[in-house]
Amino acid sequence: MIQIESIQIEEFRGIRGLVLTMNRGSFVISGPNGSGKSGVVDAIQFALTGEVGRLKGAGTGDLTLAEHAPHVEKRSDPEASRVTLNAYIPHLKKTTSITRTVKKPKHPQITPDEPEIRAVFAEVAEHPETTLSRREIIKFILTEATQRSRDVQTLLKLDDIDQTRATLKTTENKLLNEQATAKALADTAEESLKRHLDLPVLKSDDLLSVINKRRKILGLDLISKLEKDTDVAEGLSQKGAKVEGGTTKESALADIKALSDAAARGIETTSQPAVKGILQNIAVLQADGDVLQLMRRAAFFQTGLDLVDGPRCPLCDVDWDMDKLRAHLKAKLEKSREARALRDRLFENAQTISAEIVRLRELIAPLVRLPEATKEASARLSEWSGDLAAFSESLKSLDGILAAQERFEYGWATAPGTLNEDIDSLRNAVTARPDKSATTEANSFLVLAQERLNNLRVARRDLEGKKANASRGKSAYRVYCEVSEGALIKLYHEVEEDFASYYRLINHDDEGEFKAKFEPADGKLALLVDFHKKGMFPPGAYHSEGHQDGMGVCLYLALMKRVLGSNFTFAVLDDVVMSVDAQHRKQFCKLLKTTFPDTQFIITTHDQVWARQLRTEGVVGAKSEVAFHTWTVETGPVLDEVAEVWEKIDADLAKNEVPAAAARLRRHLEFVASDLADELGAKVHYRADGSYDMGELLGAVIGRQGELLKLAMKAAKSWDDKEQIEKIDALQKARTQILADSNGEQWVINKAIHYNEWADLSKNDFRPVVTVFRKLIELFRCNKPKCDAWLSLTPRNDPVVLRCPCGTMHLNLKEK
Amino acid sequence: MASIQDEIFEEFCQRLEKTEQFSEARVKQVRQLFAGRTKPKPAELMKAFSEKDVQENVP
Repeated sequence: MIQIESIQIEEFRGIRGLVLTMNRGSFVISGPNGSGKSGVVDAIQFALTGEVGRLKGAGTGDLTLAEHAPHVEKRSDPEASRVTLNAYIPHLKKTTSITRTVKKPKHPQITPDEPEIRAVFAEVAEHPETTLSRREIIKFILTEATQRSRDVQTLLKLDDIDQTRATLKTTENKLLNEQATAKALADTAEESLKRHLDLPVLKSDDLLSVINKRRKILGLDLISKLEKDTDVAEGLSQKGAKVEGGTTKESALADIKALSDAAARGIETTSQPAVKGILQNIAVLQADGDVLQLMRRAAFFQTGLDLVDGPRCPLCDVDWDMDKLRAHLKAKLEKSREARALRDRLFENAQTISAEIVRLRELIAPLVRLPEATKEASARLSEWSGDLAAFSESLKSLDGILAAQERFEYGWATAPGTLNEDIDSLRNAVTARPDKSATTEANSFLVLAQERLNNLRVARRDLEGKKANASRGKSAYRVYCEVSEGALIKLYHEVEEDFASYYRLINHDDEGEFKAKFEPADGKLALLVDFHKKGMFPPGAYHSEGHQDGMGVCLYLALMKRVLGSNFTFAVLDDVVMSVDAQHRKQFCKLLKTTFPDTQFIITTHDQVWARQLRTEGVVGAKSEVAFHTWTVETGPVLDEVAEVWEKIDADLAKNEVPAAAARLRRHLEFVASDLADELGAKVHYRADGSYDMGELLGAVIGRQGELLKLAMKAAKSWDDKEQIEKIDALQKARTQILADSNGEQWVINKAIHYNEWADLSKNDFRPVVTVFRKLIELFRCNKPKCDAWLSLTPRNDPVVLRCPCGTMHLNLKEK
Repeated sequence: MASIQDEIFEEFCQRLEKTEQFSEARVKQVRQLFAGRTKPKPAELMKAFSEKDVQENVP
């Protein structure tokens, strides 16, 4: 991550030309609504991401970066609309700059152009949340649980977790389906062997008993133990009897009976619930064509989302706003979720039918091979089996399932119309088969037994493999769920702890025991907060708008701390505490300063009091601010840069531009007088519209300063604090000298030399005015360069000390 | 800084390695699949989870 050194904005949004120097520290931009503050926020965001949040998202359909980011006078010249941001990268200890033009927003010029610096900017671009507006903070607070879950997960970059979980679940399901098919094959193979052996249950001893009975007839060695590779027909070839294939009469009749029984029961009976399920789901799809389209394209959306890594669509090469494209694909994926659930149900039912087909084909197969089967009957059975195989294969695709609707409605098995006749004629033919000799019968029996035993062994091995695979799929899904849920619960707990502690710090006066609780469940993230120990409620239930704003910022900071950790080096807070009252904003300053001392906050506000608080509480230095007074189309923001005002006045005078210098001094004094009157508690006549005269304010400030220095001197003397006495004495002397230089306090507020008339002075007449005001103002400021803040009274209501944030200036006002 | 998703995935792999069902090689394969530019498809994961040369004792 980075910290901003300075930013140069040209012809961008409402700004014609502006340079702000931030020196890696927090910075405040104040000004009334419409004065151009948000233009700076947009410029920072644009420099870092190539995008402007305000020009995208809901309700911005007609707005585009290309057309609406340049200044209105430069709409046809996007090349002229540019932002350069000079930054420091703490972990690399390098300074760098990045320049973007609206013409080529996705092709920034980075200097020095080094891979590690590009990587840093790429990472920053992945975190647009470093810019926060009120609109965005409140979305975490006042939103329904499902949307909050998505927003928080997006902020925390957790979008992939659900996707990975879904992929692992699909994998598990598919592996379970494979296992089910293998199980059907193994069961069928076992049934086939049991039929041949005429055993109701397949047990080793029973099997050997049946086998050995035939082996004894053939004079073969008896088998004492059934091993995994035992050949029950072993030795037949040595006896010269091997190997007459085919079935024994009993076995053939058993096979015929098996198919006959199945046909009598109804071949499709066991699959009826699955067929019903398929038809119901197909009806849902027919009722809503969009569901089917989403179902077909779900994988496509995901692949597209994975491949979005540049400003162009990976498929059609059309230029896109990356975030818009991602959001577009995510919305489609979200909509396709229900469609995917429906698709899963379709495949699950289709799998049940496929397993039935496996069993059925295994019943058909032995009959096809019977020597008694006529050519025609054999062809009909083979064709039926082939058709079932093709049908089963078609059920592996969505289109195949949908195309089979009619077949499901009218009977998927489609047995030949002559099935019963074929079975009857086969049974009659086999029954009429002349009895073979006992040895021939035994020979055939053993050969077929070995064949079916082998089939069973292969099927069982396959089943074991498929079981192991499915078990892995199940474990992987379970482990991922456990790990991700554990991590998310821990994460949410950390965030809720931080969130609550930040909020308590801001609201220690009335909600010092505030608690918060996240409740994640089923893709939702409920947030409950304590309300004065009366219970846990949604944030919008009882808390005021100001408190909700405070919660929003606290939650944002807690989330950012978790997302970026020590990389949370900067954030832009765009008018985020507008509904928070002054006392709580002061506490918010403390939160920023004490909890995030290494984070650079760029803060905009329309509220001068909040800007002042940021300075007096030491969040920003006295020179880390700029006040926008007004804004015009021609000039952009008209500002008072506290940091460089004297240098700019000097520059104006050097060019003999007295009116410009006079206007600049006037604006600065208006700004300073208002600030100082507040800091020192100067007494002025209250005006409801807040339009105080600068001369009146400044006079009151100077008078108040004299009073406070007297109070401080009196206190120092009462404590016999010689060091303080000397210090205050020096201040008083300096003040007296400055006021004398300006012909006394009355000069400053003398209507005869009113500031409106400065513009008419000559350069030489005006320069002393500048000098005296500069010296006067310096009297109210800490002279330490790092502090450079106004002196202020603490506490405000019953002050006991006049001090600066760093403590260098610390004048006790209370006597012993 | 590793993302939360990366942390979850790393723990997921470590937990898989501790199970008897997942050999080191198989977990490595899973890691490779997720390291790709696009997320793995179920068919790819099925392949990674499938085992050959399964031995079994048939009675």
